[in-house]
Amino acid sequence: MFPHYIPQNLLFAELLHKMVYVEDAPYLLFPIFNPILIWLISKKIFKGFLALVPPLIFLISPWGWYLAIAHSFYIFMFFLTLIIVYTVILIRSGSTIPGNILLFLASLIAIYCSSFFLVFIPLALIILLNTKIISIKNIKTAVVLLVIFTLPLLFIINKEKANFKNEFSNEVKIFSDPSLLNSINRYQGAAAQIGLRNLSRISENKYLFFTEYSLLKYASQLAPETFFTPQYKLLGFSFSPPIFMGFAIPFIYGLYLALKKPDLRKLLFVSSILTVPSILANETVALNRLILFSPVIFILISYGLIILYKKRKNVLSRSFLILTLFLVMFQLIVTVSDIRTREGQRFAQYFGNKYEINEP
Amino acid sequence: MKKNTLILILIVTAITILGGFLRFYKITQNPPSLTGDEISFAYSAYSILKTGKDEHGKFLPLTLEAVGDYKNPLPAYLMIPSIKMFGLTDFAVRLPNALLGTISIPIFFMFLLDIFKKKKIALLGSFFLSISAWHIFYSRFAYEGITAGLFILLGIWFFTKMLNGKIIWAILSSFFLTLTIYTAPAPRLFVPIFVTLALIVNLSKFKKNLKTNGVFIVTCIVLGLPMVYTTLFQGSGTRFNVVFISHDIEFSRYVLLKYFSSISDLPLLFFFWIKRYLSYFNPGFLFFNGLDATAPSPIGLGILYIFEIPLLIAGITSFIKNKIRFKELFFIWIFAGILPDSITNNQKHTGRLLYLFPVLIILTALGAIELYNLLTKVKKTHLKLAIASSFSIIVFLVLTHAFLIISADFPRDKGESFDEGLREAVYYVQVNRDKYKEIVFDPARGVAAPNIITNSFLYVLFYTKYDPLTYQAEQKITSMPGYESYYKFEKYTFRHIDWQKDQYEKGVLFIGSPWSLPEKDLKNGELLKKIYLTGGSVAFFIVSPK
Repeated sequence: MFPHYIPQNLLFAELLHKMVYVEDAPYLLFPIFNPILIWLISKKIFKGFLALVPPLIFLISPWGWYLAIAHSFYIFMFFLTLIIVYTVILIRSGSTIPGNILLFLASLIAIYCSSFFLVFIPLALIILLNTKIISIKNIKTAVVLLVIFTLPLLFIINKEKANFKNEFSNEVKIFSDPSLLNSINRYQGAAAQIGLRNLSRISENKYLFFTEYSLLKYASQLAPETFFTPQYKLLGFSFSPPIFMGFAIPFIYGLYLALKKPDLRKLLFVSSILTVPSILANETVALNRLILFSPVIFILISYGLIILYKKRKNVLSRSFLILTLFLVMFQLIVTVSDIRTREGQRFAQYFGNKYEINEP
Repeated sequence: MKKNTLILILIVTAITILGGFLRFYKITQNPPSLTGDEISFAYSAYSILKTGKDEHGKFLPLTLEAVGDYKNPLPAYLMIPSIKMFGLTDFAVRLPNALLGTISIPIFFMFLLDIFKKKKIALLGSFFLSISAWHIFYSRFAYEGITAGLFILLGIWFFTKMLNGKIIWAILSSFFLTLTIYTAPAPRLFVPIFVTLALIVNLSKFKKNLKTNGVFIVTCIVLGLPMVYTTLFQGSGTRFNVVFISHDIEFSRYVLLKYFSSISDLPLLFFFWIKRYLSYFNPGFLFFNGLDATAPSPIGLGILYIFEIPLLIAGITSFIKNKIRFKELFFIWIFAGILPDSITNNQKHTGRLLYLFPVLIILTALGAIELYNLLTKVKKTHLKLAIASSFSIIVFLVLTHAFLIISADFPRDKGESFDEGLREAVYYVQVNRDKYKEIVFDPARGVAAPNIITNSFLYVLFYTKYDPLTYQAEQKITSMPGYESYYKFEKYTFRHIDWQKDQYEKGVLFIGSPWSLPEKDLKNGELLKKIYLTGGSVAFFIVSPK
């Protein structure tokens, strides 16, 4: 018996008062499809067998496995996101027709499945167009088809406004935490006690705090501890890190190299839009949602690792390479042993013997 | 003196005065009370000043025995001149730290000028230090991290000068670096690691100046030996055993699921430590709420201000890409500096990281210059103006929020952590002590729960200016059957109050929280005084049975 998330009804089904759960799908297929898609994407970045590095890192990382076993809704959305990312690369490299068809299909499914993606997909497309990563000419067909085929959904939404609002607020919970509003009230109360209420209203109001809180959440998504340590627990209980800590070394090196190149810097900045679903969650970081951003991390790790491998004659590069491999192997053994001996007990400590948990 | 130099001196003086004002203004009222640690250092200092011995009768001790702990001696010794001048007062206790915090500003300026040879960086760095909420917060009470931070700055500065070969710098560097290990616990680990790594990366220079470096090492060993001795044989080492990360509650309870007991638990401990280490780079801790100056809130104060986020990012980029003298030392400084706190079982503590302030502020100063240079490249004047004014508004809002937190929220939310109320209780006792045959203090206090505070007796010693010679010589009773915690000297007793029994003890004055003295059980006229926290909750009742 494994812990699993309470199934999430798909958007269109919810609006039609039906029950359709993506969680009924054969979930272990996703850990197979997803690395294939990552490989297809990385083939456009790395040459030959080096393109296998990102999917391999994905496959040995606990992140995808934990979410697949728990039947996370976002593993399915990750699958669709990977297809969309792949189509963007296809379109950029000139394969416009298959690119448009795939972009349309994947986006449409995503929009029909999740209220959040109904907003997120158009937003992502606007950003891609604005930053000139793709041009409107190349995705015209997909956009037109998408608009036409989304109309029925918009029609149902118009009829089921309350239901949609409810569904949307289930996915976008960033400001639903009362502690933020409470702390604003507390701050203003304390300032009023010493006669500085007006000053407090200027610098301690909800607009500023919500902006600061969003900034905090955005920065937290990108902190190394999020990816390489169990700071934010997988499934809310595990001590397995999303990605093994040894990979932090090539990640930092890859990031450093990428930041030096203006084109890659821009791509990295734009790709951080994939952290938005996690930013909008209730938790500081929701690893199930942040997995949408994980390919960027896997590619950066691979980039660093490949350059370290190419420079292996240099003592420092060789040392880092050996240290990375040693740490990864060591943590892999420790994690497997820990999962076998303690994860069950750990789960029980957090959630008792009830194996159904809420998906953040 | 050249005109430019004079202007520079005037600016640095102005920055220092601003920093001093922020550190000294209402220093005895905010934080709202002396902490247990401040009181402990202060009474030891008073005792040494009057008798040459601490309150336990040890002559010029190298380690101070405190309640369940051994403290570093230097903070107490630094208080002696201040207590001599201003008496045993709150101001005298806090003066040395606020002074050293203020002095850090011009010293940091000189350090930056020497390393970077650029006035802009030196001025910006010292300005950032003078307004740093992190540095101001800890300068306003007797917290040893401020002293350790200054001594480490001086030690490392002289270390960089020593690498050029002069013996005087070797002696000064070793003196200040070794002095820090008598100041705070964290440098005991940081200083040896820093010195070892710094010497390794400067091996060629080390070989060139063997004589100077030999003097440095010998001085370090000679000055450090007494601390090694006290650590090994006089109990200072107990702190390390108690606070080591293997005893961490989160680790035992949620990771290992048992107490750390064997070598086979080490791999998990290692990865738990890595998690802890990387958490020091957590944006929330760095910029939003690391300072823990208010009740839990996602938006509070961090080590740096929120407007310093872009400055820090730009500063790191500038630091990596530009040629900077002693770059490797700064790397060692920051990465080894986190180590001591990361291997303790406590939560991350911004105070124990204070000696890292120079590196973080250097990065923000470098970033400010980098961003300013970028701004000057913007051709459209209105855009330049818009960016500059937007940033200025953000800085204003963030600094206003910081000011409000320190002046309004901190005293309201953290009074209890600063043992607020005990001073007022002792003042009451001092005036009325002759009316009672015994005065009983209850160790349990707290608004949310009755926490045990075992150092109330130090507040009595401090605020009654109890004669240290008498205290050293008189008989104390440290245990009593039926009481978990018991301490008695003269007519003062520190034990749990059981009001069901104690309500019949006529002629005894009881000081306790509502947990031990429930208001509903008190008869008319028994409640003599209520003492409140700044936040409005009751801290203590002073009661005598009728």
